[in-house]
Amino acid sequence: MAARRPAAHKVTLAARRIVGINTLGVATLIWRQVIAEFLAFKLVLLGPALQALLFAVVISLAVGTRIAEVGGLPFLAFLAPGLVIAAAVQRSFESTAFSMVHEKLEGTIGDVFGAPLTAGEILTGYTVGATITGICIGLPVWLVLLPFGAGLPLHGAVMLYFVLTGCVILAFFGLIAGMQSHRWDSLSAKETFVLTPLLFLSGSFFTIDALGEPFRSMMMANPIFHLVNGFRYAMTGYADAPVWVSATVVGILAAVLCLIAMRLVAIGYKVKD
Amino acid sequence: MVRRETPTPNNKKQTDFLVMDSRQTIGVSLTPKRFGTVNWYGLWSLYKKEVHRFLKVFTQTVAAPMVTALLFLAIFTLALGRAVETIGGIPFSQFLAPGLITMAMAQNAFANTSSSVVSAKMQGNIVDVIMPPISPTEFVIAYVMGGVTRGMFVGLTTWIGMSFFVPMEVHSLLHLVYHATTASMMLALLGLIGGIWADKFDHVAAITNFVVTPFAFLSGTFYSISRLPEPFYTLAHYNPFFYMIDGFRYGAIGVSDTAPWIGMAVMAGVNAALGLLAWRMVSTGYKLKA
Repeated sequence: MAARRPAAHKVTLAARRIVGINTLGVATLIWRQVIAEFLAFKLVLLGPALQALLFAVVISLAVGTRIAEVGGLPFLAFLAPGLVIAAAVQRSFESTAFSMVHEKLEGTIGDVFGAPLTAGEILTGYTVGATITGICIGLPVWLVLLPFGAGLPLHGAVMLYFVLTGCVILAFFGLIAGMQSHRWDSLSAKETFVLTPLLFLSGSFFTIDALGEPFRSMMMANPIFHLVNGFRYAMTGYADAPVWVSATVVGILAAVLCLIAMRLVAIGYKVKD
Repeated sequence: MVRRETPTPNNKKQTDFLVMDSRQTIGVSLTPKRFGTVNWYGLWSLYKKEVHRFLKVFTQTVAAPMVTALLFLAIFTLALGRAVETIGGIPFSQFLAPGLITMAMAQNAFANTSSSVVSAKMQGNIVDVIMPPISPTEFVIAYVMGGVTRGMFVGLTTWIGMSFFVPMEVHSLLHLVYHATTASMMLALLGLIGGIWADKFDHVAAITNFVVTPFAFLSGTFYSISRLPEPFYTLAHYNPFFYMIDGFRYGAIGVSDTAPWIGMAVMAGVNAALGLLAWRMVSTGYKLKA
């Protein structure tokens, strides 16, 4: 039925690919993800930093000099890495999850899924955008915590590994949660009842020694605990659990979530109906 | 109150609706319905609308704040419990619980009115509230009572949730109820004022981040202000959030940093001032009417 189109026509409509990758498409998607975040919500950058500052002030006031040390560190130096990485990964989750739900509700999701991008390219665009956003949020948090005893990282490579893996894991998780949710309240239920408890009970605020037995094992099963643990080791040299265990756990988790997210994007789960 | 149409069942077709409407217009003249000094019907409808608005997303507006408050209780008790065993002879978790409940109530009362007004402004349906014969006083009361209702819902569920982990007591029911109401009212009024002032959601988020949260955090929820060094000790007394948390805590555990009657007076004064400001904004139509 359809008349054969001239070959030249086809060529002009195809995306330009470099080494088989639509680089311009991916770069545009990343740029859009990051820019959308900061153009729409300029103050969002400062929110988490202020929140962390308040936590630090409140805890200094509440504790004073009563907690001398936790694991050989001043309490706030112990606390700071947890606050930094928690802020970064939470923002990374929100970046993919919010834009996914927003685009689905607005109907603009077709602009991404209809573009000549492969599933891998879509996933890369969203994830890298979310990771950049997460780091842009984590950095000011770290800066405001500097006067409270946050320091320069001791192990730069380890820190980079945990920051990147953390942001990527939560970006995947956000993408999966966003694709599953049809409405804002079903997404915010996932954030409130799954992500926030995992973040709060991740050992950012206390050592694992503060817990009794059943909870201690439960905390070891919390992936965010391993992120915080590894990141804290990189920043301060103190670790609640062996760092190689944490590194393995987050590495495997990232791979598994990557496969799930890839599959969902490829079949257009709840997007291509 | 203008009666525009009789309620039609949802499954009625649009055409049926139009026919009914025109028939009614012909049959009944469109003179305003007579009501007394207070438009009770309008007040009640607006209040009901405000309550239904948050009850529709119950998990987001009532259950979520409870979970957050419980998590705060858990992390602060775990993190500080060993170092700060008691404050003024009270176990730390028992000292913390009333403050966290007040914070949850306050933040949600604020969120209720501010988000309602801003989203109505953004979507343009604010005229549905401004046009009907609802006086500024009725407008303010309906919105604020909606916020107070959400505050009470959140406070009650959080109280129940916490009672599983911390022994909760009622030292003086009068103080408890008074401060729960006035705290929610103060933040609902702030939310109303902020919502009228704000042009978009970012402005509300900015007020939440840079005004409400800092005042709430630095109000003595997590510590007794008697521990503060001098300039801050005096400064803390200028924070109205301090009085609401202190008063609510007095109602719960009978321990307070200032005399209870001072807290009650401050809350009444602040509420009256904010109420007047909100009333003035609504009656002049500041950023509401073109």
